[in-house]
Amino acid sequence: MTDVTHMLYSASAMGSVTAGIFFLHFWRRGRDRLFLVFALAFWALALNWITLVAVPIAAERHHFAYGIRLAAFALLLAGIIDKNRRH
Amino acid sequence: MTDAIPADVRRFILDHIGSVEMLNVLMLLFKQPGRTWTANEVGSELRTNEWSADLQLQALAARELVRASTDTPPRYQAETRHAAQVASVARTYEERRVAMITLIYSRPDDVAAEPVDPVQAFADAFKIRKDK
Amino acid sequence: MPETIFALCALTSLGCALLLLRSYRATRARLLLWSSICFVGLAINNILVCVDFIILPQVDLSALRAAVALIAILFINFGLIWDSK
Repeated sequence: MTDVTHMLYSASAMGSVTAGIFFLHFWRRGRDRLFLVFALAFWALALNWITLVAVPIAAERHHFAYGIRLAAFALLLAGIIDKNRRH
Repeated sequence: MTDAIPADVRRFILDHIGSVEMLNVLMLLFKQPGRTWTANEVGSELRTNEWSADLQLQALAARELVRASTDTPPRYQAETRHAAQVASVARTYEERRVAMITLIYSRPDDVAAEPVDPVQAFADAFKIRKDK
Repeated sequence: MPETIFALCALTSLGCALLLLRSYRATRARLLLWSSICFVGLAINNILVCVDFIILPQVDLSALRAAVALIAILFINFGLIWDSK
């Protein structure tokens, strides 16, 4: 992985953490638990990108690397389904 | 350009109309004042999605421009005491469409047309069916 | 198998984007527009992974993928900071 790619993934991870913090904040403001789900999903994405940077060699081929990504999107799906069943 | 719009129409738009979709729904209901509509029917007629139609109908009902029945799903009907005003608006829309659209979207955000909380709107966006 | 996962992620992401876009058209809340673009970007990112591994294995798309992901994340952050009232 080149330095540029490394930097881009790291920046994305940081940005994703930040977005997650915003979502967490909205959740705590007494709103929808969907926001908690989004927070966790974006943090999972951050973890996914950190893993790509920290674990060397074609990391995306490794099961646990894309397991994290799958978890992120599965969380989003679950959150949306939950939202629609609640209301 | 907006001088071309009569003052009463202008006032009406500024007070009540948040989007072109909202205006289209309003005009549709007033075109056949005796008729009741569900969000689904409005959606089909205007070739928009039911979810969006429902949102506009509720907004119009909140402003007492249309009346909502207590059925499920609710049926909406034009509130006829506004018929003359809406006719005037519709006429102006036909004649000066561009100016009207510009006016609708130039409304400053503090004008009272349901100031939308973006965070709430985000959460609500994920309701797949609006009639929840 | 892994490609299926990325395709699924892309679809979920697109679904989110569409829901947000639909709501943006009705409410005109800008946050929804930026978020929608973010999810489109994430979808593209996932599709690019599939492309990278299946269609063009000889070309390394990792820099492009990473760039798309970052742009997506920048959009949602901008929206959350600027347009959440």
